[in-house]
Amino acid sequence: MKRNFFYFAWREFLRSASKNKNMATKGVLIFFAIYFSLVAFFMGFQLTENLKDLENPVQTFNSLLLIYFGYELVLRIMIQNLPTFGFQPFLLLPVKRTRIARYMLNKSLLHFFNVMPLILGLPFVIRIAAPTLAPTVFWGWLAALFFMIFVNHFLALYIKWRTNESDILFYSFLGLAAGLTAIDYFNIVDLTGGFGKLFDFVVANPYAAVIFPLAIVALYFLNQSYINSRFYLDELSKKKKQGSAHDFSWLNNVGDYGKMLSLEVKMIMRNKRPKNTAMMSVLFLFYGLLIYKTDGAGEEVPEFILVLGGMFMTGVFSMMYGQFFPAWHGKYYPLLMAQNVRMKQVIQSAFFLMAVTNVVYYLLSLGYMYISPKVLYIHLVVMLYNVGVNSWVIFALGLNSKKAIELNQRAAFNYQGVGATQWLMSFPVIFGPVALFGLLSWAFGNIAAYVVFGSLGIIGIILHPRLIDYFTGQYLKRKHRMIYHYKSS
Amino acid sequence: MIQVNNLQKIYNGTTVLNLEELSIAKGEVFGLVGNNGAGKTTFFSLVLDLIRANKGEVVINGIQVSKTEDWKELVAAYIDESFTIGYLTPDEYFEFIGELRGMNTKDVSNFLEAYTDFFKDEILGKKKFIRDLSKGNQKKVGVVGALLGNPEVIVLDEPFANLDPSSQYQLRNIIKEYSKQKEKTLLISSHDLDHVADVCSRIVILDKGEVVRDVEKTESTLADLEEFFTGVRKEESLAD
Repeated sequence: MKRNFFYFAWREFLRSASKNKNMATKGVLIFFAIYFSLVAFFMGFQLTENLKDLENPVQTFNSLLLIYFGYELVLRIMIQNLPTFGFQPFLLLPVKRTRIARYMLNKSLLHFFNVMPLILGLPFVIRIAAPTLAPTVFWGWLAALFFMIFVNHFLALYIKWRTNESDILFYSFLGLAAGLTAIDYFNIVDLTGGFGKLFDFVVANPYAAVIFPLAIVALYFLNQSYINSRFYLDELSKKKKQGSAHDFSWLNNVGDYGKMLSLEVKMIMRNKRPKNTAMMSVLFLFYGLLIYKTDGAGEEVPEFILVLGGMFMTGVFSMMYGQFFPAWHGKYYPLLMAQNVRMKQVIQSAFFLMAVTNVVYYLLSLGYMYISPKVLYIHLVVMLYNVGVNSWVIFALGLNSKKAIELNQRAAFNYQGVGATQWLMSFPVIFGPVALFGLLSWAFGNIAAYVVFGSLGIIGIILHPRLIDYFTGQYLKRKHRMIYHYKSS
Repeated sequence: MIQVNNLQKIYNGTTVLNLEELSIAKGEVFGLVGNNGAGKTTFFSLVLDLIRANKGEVVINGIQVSKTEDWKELVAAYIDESFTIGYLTPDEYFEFIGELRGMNTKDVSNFLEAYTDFFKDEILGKKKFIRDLSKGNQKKVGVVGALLGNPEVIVLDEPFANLDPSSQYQLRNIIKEYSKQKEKTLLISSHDLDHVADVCSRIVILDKGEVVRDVEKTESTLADLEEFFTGVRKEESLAD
């Protein structure tokens, strides 16, 4: 029977209706997998280089493990999929539930997260651990390490099932993770050391490695009994919630496109994917902390970097939201096309939303003035450019929109609805302008470049009534195609 | 009210709809019947300019639908679930449609009062998103949404499908009641001959994209329809 389950899964993959579309996405994912494997491999080598001259490299390695597995756990919970497969047809067949549950759990093991630590650890294991540790110790330690991956795997699954049931649990988990990180970081309790000691203990008593398989078995059965106790269509596959009430009706007064705008905001706030996207865009405001760095005292952040960061931070919402305009509304596009709402209103409301968030994010990004006061005017210039030029670029790219967005999926690492447009988008929207800026400032100086950028933005803003009319016409021209593609996506 | 000239839709070389000339007068309740693939939904989608015709035109009240968006003020429709918005509650959905049609909250709730029975206490005032409603209740929301705001032309594709028997009966009465206001034009399709024969004033049978029968409703319409689709004529005594 188990063989048959894999047979079904294989068929499902081979015969899925959107196979060809998925193939492209799969290709990209495979590319990422290879890329990250290589990165992991080189990081592993780097780690070996750093550790090899230490007095007791294995012990140091052990003390780093908690950091790795901790981050991995959080990452897994955020982006790893729960192993729900189409189990409905089997519920009525004479197949034991335990069998289905086990299949689901076993299948979940085929995951990149379970391979990456092997690649990352390989150089260290071969170059340092193998020669320094006695054979029995080495194998015990290696087994412990290996099994720890799967402990993490099933732990993540279990936490994910649980946190999927309630938002409170999810946020308390995040809070707990942050809290533990803080406790460790400020050395209140030495958690990393403690976790490392566990592995040191294995080094001292190799047979203690057996606790890891035991932990796996325990977690496996925990997961299995969780699935078993919830083998009902309404419990395992989705959670139902009461609609939350805030209705954003005040937005209706914005103009004759206000009704569309309040629909747009509801769409963002009430659906998982756009909501996650919006939340992620807020997180990207911290991007500046990464790139606005100075090497030493008195040195300034290069203006070029400020332009790049400003471009990104003021425009991140319009980019992340705009890349799927109008596919966000794909599921009910026919309604919008047949009801008494004009295409112009749809476009105006999207433009308004992007422009307002650009301004808001500009204001928020002013916090970086404490790093460099130039942020005040450099971000202003690129914000104007984002509103006045990039908005239209985004609308132009949206004309090729083909896949309706499944609103209720997560946003991170979700490739549903992603096409060439999305992959190529960053070029005309960010890198193009930044390159142009580089060219202008190289040829005529920074000031001239700012003037050009600001003027382009202001021209775009002044011309916006005309441009909205133009794009209204373009979107109307393509509406049949979009309706068709959205239906079949 | 609606004028169709030489309308043709071709998919991959197959003509799925071919209407030489069809005109639907103001106040008519126009019933469209036909087997699967006869072109009913295609026709409605063309009327609403959701798909592009290969040839010909649909004109509503003098407005060619593929040229401007002005007809949207006159027309409302419910074709399938893409005409509702899953993440709104039914109340918000009605509010949204009402606003698009220039009604305020008070107008909308007045309008909805007439449908209390039809909604059976399962739809209004519940904090439940449309996507979480049953198929039948989703359909009710969509159909009533199409009636909202006094549109001149209402297009309903299979409005009876997925409804429970008593709701089907209520919907019949709603449509009949609505069509008594003489200036409203309704376009309705259904697989259920009984419903169509009951509520429509004119019935058109489509077969492979062509009009094969176009009749005013009379006493014997239902029997005629059944004969057409089954090849068997029911005894008159049974029809009584």
